[in-house]
Amino acid sequence: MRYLLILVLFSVTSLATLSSAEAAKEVPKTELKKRLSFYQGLSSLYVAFVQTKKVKDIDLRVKVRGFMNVEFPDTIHWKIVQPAKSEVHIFPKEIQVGAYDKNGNFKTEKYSLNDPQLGDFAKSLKELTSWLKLDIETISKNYKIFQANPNQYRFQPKKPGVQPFTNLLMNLKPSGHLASLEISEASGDTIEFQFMEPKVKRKGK
Amino acid sequence: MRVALFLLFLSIPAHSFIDSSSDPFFPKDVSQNISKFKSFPISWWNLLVVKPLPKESVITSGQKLCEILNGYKDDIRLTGCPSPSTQIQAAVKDWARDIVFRTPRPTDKALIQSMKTATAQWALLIGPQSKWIGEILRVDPLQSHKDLQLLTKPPATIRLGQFGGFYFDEEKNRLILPVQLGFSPTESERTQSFLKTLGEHFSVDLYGPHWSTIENKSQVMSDVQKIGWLGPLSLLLGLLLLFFFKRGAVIWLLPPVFFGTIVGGIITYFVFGSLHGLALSFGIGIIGLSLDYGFHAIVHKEYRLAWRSNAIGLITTLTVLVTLLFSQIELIRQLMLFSITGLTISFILLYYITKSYSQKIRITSFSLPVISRSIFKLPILFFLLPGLMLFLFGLEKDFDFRQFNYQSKNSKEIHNWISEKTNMQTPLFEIIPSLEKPSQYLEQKTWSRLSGVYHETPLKYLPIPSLRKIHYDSWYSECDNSFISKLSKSEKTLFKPFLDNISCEGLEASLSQINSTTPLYMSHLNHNGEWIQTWLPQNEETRKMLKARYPKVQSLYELVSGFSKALSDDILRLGPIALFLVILISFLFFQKLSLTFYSLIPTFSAFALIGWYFYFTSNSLTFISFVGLIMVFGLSIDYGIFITQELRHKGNQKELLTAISLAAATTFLGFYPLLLCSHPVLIDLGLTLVIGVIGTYLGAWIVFPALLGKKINSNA
Repeated sequence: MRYLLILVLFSVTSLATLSSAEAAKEVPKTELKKRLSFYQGLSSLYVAFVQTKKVKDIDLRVKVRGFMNVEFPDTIHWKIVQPAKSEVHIFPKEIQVGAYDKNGNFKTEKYSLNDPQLGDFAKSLKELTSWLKLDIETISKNYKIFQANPNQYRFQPKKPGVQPFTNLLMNLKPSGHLASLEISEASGDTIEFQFMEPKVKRKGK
Repeated sequence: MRVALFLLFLSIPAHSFIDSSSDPFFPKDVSQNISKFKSFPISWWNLLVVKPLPKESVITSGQKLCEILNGYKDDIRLTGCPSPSTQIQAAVKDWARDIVFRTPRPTDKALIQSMKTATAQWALLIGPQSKWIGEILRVDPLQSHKDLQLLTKPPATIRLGQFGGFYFDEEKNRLILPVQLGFSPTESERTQSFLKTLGEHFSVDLYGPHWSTIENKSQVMSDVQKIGWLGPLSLLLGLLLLFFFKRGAVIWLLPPVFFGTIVGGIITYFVFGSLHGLALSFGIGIIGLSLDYGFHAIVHKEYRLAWRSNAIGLITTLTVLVTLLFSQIELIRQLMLFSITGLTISFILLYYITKSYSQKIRITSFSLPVISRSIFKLPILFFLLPGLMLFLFGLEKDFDFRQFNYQSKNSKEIHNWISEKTNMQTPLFEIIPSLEKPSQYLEQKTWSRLSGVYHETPLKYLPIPSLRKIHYDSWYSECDNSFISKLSKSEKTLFKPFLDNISCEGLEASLSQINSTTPLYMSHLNHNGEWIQTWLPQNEETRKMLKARYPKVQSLYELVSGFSKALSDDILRLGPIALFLVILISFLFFQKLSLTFYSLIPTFSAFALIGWYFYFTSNSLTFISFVGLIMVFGLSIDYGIFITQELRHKGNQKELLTAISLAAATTFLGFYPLLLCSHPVLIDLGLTLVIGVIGTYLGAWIVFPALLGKKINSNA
């Protein structure tokens, strides 16, 4: 009886693996580029978002709201407005972090992205930048791209342990706009960004 | 033989019964303060200097080094590394917990707003390192950890490129990382083990108190190994020569001296409760002087006459040693007791052995040329008198303890390089037994802040107890924290650690914690309930101002210079007494002032030669030279008495000369290898002894008979 149970379990897991492999087939970067063609040739992008951070070990979900402004090619302003104002401005060589101090004054601190004091935070931030800009060229260098269904893509690092994120899930709206991005970290924590309708400016306009 | 024993004992300082600390070097109160200072972790800072690196790999090398150092949980307290160690994380958590003692409770509205801001910031955190920052935000939504970051910012200005917690010298491609080890510099084996395991991953030099301790110890050991074979080999050759010339019976003199040394060591150990390695090493040299009595006895035909001279020689030597037994410095007292007991026991045993086996161990004298005419009188006077003047008044006396700090070529280069790149002044410190009455320390804190002097004090981290209580009460009076009902579920979960801390139970636990243990963020300033505060004046002028205002504040150097002062006091106080007593005893023996004076000629000769040599080589008389001088004085006074007595009784000068030559030769052969050492302590001792022995020998062989031969005979 026990052997039968093991056999059944083995069959079920094998089938699940086979079906998921079939369901999420690897796709070339060109296909994703095509699906995200809305985001090609932009000079700026403005989008509101809701960010949900989930911490597995304390069963915590924290939701914040804000908006992102990307000035292509390489500047991102990430502003949280609720529950309190907090900002990160990412430039090619530095970042600026703004928040209220204990006296209620809004203060901005600058860090060089090469500053070891930022440790792996800088690495994670650089990585995040390419995702927020939807820079498919950079993403595809480090991640394998799988398509789970017509509007969902899954990303897995080509070299596990090297990239700060272990798994990413991208959902697109039928219009080709980015609906959400869920990032899984090595710790098991996840961050999910849900994006509203973007406002864009195209190059040369 | 002397050197064999010396090296034997010097090479086993790790034995449990041998003390190798610096405590006995100082008067008791000074010693206690030094050892207290060394116990405070604030004195455990070193610099890790990474060997030259290619510019492009500096940042990655720094990160790799930090990753490796994070693995040393017990051996390292703090580093400049950006990724904080578990100790720092624990210290920051303690700091966050103790906010209730530092500040009054904010309003409910302010608390809620802080938590909302912290939530927004927490949401921005991403990547593995952000995990612990998130944990800090959870326990410290008021973000007081930023104050701790400011308070612990290093004051020293290092003129080097800085990134993260590292410094980088672009000219030399060197990376420097400040590291506070987790144990005292006296734990050399632990330092060595730490460096050995770190060396498997990284090529680094350590610069600071821990390395200095190791470097000094290993240099002594290396010197001992280097010369360990040379001294005994020289003596063995000497002994073989004596056997060859049918005078091998001198070997009978060795067992009594060995026995005397061992018994002397045991007695000293039981009297002081310890025996310092240096007292043991140098004491053996003094006890070895008893060999001279043996040589004198086995060469001399008139046995009684020889032992009468020997007895006076012993009494005068013991007089000096007993006088110095009253020194303030424990090391000198240990050295003297060891020498007195060892010398006396060896003397008694030698007397019985030479008496019992007088025929068996007797040796005949050598045909050495005896100088009886005063052909060298004038040149000798020109050598002796100015030499003595130079010895007494022309030599610089330098008892500064720092000169015995051995630095290898590499360490010197790093030392000079770091000195060139930093503006660091010598730190000053004060040990505070208790913070119960903090008003005076508060005044110091205010004065230092107004004067711009960097001041590290426990009061920087925690307010005085009365203010602490006011703050705590403000939190405790509202410990029901009714505002919590206004928080969302996720905020309650996110800030649970903080909310627990400020609950009634949490506050009571914090109060009990702070009353019973030292918080980690200020543990570097505490040892066994005592506190230390340090100042780092920016220049000499501020240092003087600080010293004038607070005379108890001192640098480690000023504290250590207590040794120099104690030694100078001892020499000024005890030196004249010892000299007077020696002269008195000699006078009682010779019954004539002139003979008494003449018996001091070998001593004068030794000191004159030391005077000339040290003057022309610009050497200073150091503590170790002083120990060497005691040995030279003991040796030369014996020679003086032997020769004066011999000439007074018209004895056989060749016999006497043979005894003196054998004694001088063993001392010389025993100690000249010390001149080949690298450690200043060993060189200093070797130099004083070798020059002193040559001077004494020349004094007894040439100066004495040339100046006074005829006169003494006529007197007699």
